[in-house]
Amino acid sequence: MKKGMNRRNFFKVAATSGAAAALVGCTKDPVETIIPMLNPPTDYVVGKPIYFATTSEDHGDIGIVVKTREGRAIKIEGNPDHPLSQGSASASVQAILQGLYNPNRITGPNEFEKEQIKSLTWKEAQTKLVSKMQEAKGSILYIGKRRTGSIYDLIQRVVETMHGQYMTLDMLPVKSNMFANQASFNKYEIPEIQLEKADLLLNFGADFLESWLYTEKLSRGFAQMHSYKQGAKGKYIHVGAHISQSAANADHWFACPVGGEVYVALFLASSLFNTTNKDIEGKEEIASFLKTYSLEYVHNVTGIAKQKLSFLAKEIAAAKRPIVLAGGNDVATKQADNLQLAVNLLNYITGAINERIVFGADYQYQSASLSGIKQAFDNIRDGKYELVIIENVNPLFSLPKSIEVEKALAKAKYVVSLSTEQDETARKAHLQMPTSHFLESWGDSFPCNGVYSLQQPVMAKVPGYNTKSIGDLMLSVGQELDVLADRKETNYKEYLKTQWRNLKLGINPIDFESFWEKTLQKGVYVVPTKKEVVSFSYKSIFQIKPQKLEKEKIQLLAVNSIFHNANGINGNKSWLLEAPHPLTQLVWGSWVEMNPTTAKKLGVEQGFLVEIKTEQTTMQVGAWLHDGVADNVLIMPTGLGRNVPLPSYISTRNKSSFLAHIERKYDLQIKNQKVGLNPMDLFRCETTETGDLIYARVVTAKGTAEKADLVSLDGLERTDLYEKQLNRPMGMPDRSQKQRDLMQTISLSQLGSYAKKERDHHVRYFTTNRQKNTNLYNTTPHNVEEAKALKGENNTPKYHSPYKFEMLIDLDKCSGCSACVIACQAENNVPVVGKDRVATGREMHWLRIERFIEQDAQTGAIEVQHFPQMCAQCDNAGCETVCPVYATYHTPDGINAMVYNRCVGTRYCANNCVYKQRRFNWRTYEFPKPLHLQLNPDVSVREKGVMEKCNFCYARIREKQAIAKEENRIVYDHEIQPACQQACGANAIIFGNRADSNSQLTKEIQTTQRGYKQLEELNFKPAVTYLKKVKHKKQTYRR
Amino acid sequence: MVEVTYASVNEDILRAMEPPKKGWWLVFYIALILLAMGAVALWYQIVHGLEVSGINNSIHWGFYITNFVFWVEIGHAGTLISAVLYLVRAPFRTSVYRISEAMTVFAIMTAGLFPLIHLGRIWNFYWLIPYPNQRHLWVNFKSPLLWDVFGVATYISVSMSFFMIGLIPDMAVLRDETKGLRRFCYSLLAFRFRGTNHQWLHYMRGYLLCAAIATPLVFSVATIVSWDFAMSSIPGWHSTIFGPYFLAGAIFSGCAMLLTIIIPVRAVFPGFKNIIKIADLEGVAKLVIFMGTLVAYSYLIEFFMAYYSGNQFEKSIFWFQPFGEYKLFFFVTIFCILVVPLLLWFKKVRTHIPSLFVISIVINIGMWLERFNIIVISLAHSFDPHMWRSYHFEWGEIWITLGSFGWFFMWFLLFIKIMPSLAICEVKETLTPPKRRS
Repeated sequence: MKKGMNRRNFFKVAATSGAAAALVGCTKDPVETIIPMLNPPTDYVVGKPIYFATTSEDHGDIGIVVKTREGRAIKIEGNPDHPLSQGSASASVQAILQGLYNPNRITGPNEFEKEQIKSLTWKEAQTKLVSKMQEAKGSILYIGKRRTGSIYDLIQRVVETMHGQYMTLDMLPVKSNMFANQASFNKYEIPEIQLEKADLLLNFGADFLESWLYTEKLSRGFAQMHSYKQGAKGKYIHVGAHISQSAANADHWFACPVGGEVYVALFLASSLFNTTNKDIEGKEEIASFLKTYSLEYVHNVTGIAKQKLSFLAKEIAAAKRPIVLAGGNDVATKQADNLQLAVNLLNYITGAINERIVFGADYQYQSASLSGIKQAFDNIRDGKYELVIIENVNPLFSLPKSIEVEKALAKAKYVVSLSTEQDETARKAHLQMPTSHFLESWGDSFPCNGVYSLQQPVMAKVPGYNTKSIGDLMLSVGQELDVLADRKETNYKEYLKTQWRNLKLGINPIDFESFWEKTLQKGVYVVPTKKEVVSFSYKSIFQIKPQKLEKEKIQLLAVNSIFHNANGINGNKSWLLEAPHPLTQLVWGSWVEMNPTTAKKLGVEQGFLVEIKTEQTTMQVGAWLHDGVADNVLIMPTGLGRNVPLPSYISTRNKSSFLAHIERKYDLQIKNQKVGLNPMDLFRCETTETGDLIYARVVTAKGTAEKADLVSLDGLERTDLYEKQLNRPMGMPDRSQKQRDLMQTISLSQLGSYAKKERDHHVRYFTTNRQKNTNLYNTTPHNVEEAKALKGENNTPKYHSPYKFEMLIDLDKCSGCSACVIACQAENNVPVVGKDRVATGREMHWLRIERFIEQDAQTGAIEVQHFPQMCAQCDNAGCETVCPVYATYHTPDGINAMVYNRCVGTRYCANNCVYKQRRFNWRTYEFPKPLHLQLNPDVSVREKGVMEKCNFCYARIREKQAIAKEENRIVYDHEIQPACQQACGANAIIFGNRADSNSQLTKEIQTTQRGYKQLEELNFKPAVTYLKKVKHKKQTYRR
Repeated sequence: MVEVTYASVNEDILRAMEPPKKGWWLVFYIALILLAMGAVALWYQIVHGLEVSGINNSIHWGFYITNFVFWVEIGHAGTLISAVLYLVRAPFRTSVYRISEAMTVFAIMTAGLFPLIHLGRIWNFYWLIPYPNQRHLWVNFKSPLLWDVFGVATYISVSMSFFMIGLIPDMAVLRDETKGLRRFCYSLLAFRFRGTNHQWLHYMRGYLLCAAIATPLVFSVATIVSWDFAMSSIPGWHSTIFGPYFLAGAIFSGCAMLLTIIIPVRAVFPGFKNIIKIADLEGVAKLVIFMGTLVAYSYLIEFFMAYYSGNQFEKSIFWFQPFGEYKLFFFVTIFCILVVPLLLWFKKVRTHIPSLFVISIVINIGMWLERFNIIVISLAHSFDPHMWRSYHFEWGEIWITLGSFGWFFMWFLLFIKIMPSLAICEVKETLTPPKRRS
């Protein structure tokens, strides 16, 4: 047989295989456009971000700056020039982008006729609305979002000229504040609360760091008051039914039964009054009124220990500039009005009025009273309204079940929804006319006197959503209805401009255009307001009629948190559902908090379901036990229980480990899933006399033997040698840090005695600047050679020049609000993984707030400690040495870089990280359309099998370094701000260049006596320094 | 007592290598089914991501590394028996060493799969090799995983060549006794071995050299694999005892696995009982108990040092092992590897074949769990209490583990049918040579 191949066969084979190869390459790739526009607008440069200043309509009317790339909004920051935000944006504000790109947005006008959806054009829809409004003249009800700008007047004008009723719905209970202020100071307004001026904050339940009033401003003020500076710090005492995230920052928390705060306030007023020598009008009457509220009496009524009450009295007497706050869901009980009046009295006696509580600003929190809302829905059910228009509120979700909104809407003759989102209420409408998101609209807002904010569209409408802004809609509807005779503007922007021209701001009409441009750029125009001095009307205290407490009954308190409030607009934002609650660290679900004594009474253990029953409904919720709740009180978070659009990832939990569970590509869809339970289902519409909803309800509760699916992001339910107590009361684990000193505290007295020398001793490495190398043959810089010779091979300096980036985290300032977590998620394209994957321990957050609960060794008082932790960019990193492919290495900037393209996914780096700050992509995660538009193009989106972690927002670092290089300088201090630092409302995170001796970071590290690094003894040389939290007294914790 | 002659040895081997009967096919099919399950799970893992394994954000290694270490260690026993015991001329080695060498080769082949299986991006596995590339990319030689790459690669190449060299005279026997295609294949592997004095001399020297090269590999590769853990910083891993501890554990579990596979082979093939004597198996059992004692000592000293050191992290993790979430695994492990092998101190047990079989399986279960404990428990309970997590079992890793057993046993079953499972020539060396009839 002839060996080998002859020529002919060779050519045959070669040609065929060549042709086959060519054919394979002939499949058509999808056509993609890199640059979407041939003629882009001016200033539009691909790759360069444009920042727009606008005002948020949700979570308070605060100024925000929106970063857009290629015409898409990708990140929200606070506007530094806006007095309400002062540069910070809380977690809810960061998550507004998930509302803009919500897959549940309504795509265009729809009409529902006999179960069929018919999509309409805007012309058709508007014609229909106008005709309906004309038909229903005199019997129109419009329920809308609480608004403070020109749009409020416009809507009001349109509706009321048609003899309709315009109501705004906001679940925040502020009426009691305002009515009390009217009674005590003759001012029906929310005053300006200047926490920064106080030295003692006494808080009756107000969640001022979470959802109550202007939280960003209060957070900044609180950080200023409460953080350590120049040898002193303020004090915060919280009296309430539970430790909320706000109360977690308190120096002392006193458990108080629901509604009992008014007694404590009156007791304090009485004790102070005896010692004050103020010249007050009606002294004798006040004194005789307060005489009843003695220590003995209040102790008997509330059950609070006498030494605690006297401690409180002593503290408030000793304080030079105390301030007392009350409000929020925690105290929205039958006693709310009484409490506010008592607190006003207390503030007056302590001299806080006109000093730290300043009137004249008139913060706008006006909305309809809940009793009015209830009446409106009763009227709807009775058919009194021909037309009901609901705009951007969700009464079906947020109102108590007894109002029976669903039935009312079903009975209503015609319901029009002007909401942006297909929420629970919009689904019941006959006609849907979706309005644009506020980030796509023109508008303005006047949150308080002297602050005039503008709202502008930061991008064109999100592609695929045919919406119209509320202003444009109302304007054209009003013009069609012929109710806006004098307003001929064709669009809302012109309308706004005219409104602003007439604002009487003292602007010369000739200069108006340039004023408009400048204000648009800045986002806000601030006119300093004069403070209005008020006097106290003592007769108001006689309206205080404290009622009997129902201490022995089990009461459910529905509370707001930093992520969710009763309005429920955050209930379908996956970032906020996956972010761990600052106190419980629970995600993706509802829970009910109680203390072990209550749990024992109900017969429920930690992690089991408790059945809560009222006349309205019965629900089973998981129990989360901790010592930070008063007896007989159940705490449940509001705002959860909505349908969330999520990818239908396969779940293998509670399924057999031996059978295959395969997720096919076409199985993966975006489906709406209900997450959590709505406590409002248990409530009936009980309001205070002033019209606030009462968020406390007597319930019947009993434990079950079924395990709840509570998913927590802390691993603390596992036992350890160093657990404080070996027996767990009702299964409640020890949530302390097991003596690992990750979070360290120091007392005021200790700070004086620390010698600086002692700290220098711990500096085990040094950095030196790398001088320019002039020797071709020796690549090591000259000074490094010298240093090596001096200190020896083992102490080779790490040369970082001119940058070595480090971070300083001040634990005294961190309040645990988790804004940094959401900001990091937004900035770095961190995916959301869903409940199942968090339960199996596969969360993706790059930055986490760790929460430990310690107990004072002597008093047994609970202390909740928070600290943020991210990759510490260790100089002597454990992860860098063990990666077999060099996918992670140390940059000359001092950052531990992660090269996604090189990572093969052995995960050894994550095993070797002592802080466990590395995250692995267990699969390729989905970003449901249109949420993928939010992705930051500067940061890669990682695929499965790749490691990722915090890199100090290296994209931002590079951006600024490039600019600095062009300008032939190094970056200025604070020019680079990682997302976490920028979002922090308390300035707790400082990022800077350690090699720059003039940077704030270097100066603080060199002079502070509070600095420490976590797990320093392991010699990984982390670049993150923590400043110990300062306590007023030396703390020893129970071991 | 049937007399073993040169002829009978040849006959026994050839009978063993006849076309397989139903029993072999049944076990082979089971192995193939397991392998198919493993392949399906691996395919799905490559397509979908590592979600199909039970690892999570604190416990980044689980079943796959457990399997890797388990199979590598089984391989070490084989090399110890064929190489080290050859150098010290242990008498019980002769009849068992061929199977043990085969076990080594196949175990390393199995173990070598797992560093690839556990990769997040398995298609880029070749980046672990320092191949010349245009971008001047190097691998990180400081990483213990890379030492693994070199160690295991060296080990498999040396083991295979050792195996091949050892097979040469036996392949020559088979070449002479078979016909056709089989004869052709055996002649390739026999490398023209004719049995001349000259060839024998070179062969023995070559074999001795290979044994000498393979010997340090046992110690070094075991240590390298243990340094995957010892070189990290996690309490429970960061300990100098890992090198000798894993080596002792390797021999321990490997000899036990050898007993597990040799006892059925001995029982099934007629004639093998006379060659693989009970005394030989007893020799292996003695090795098992010796190494078991070392492992027990290592365990005890680890716990003692955790207490004596006073280091809170060490104390915490070693308290967590017996009293924490995984205490069932811990106590099963202790029972399997510390308590059960104690039975081997008794000669009656050591010479009773069924007991040896059962004990060896129990020991292997215990050793697998022991690796699992070391990896998972130390990772689950490390420095930051907030990041304490739990392992959970997923179908993907279970199927892949079963697949690895399927892969190993498939190769082993093929081996006992295609290649001589006894070292024909060395066994003949222990017999009296046949007298030539003049």
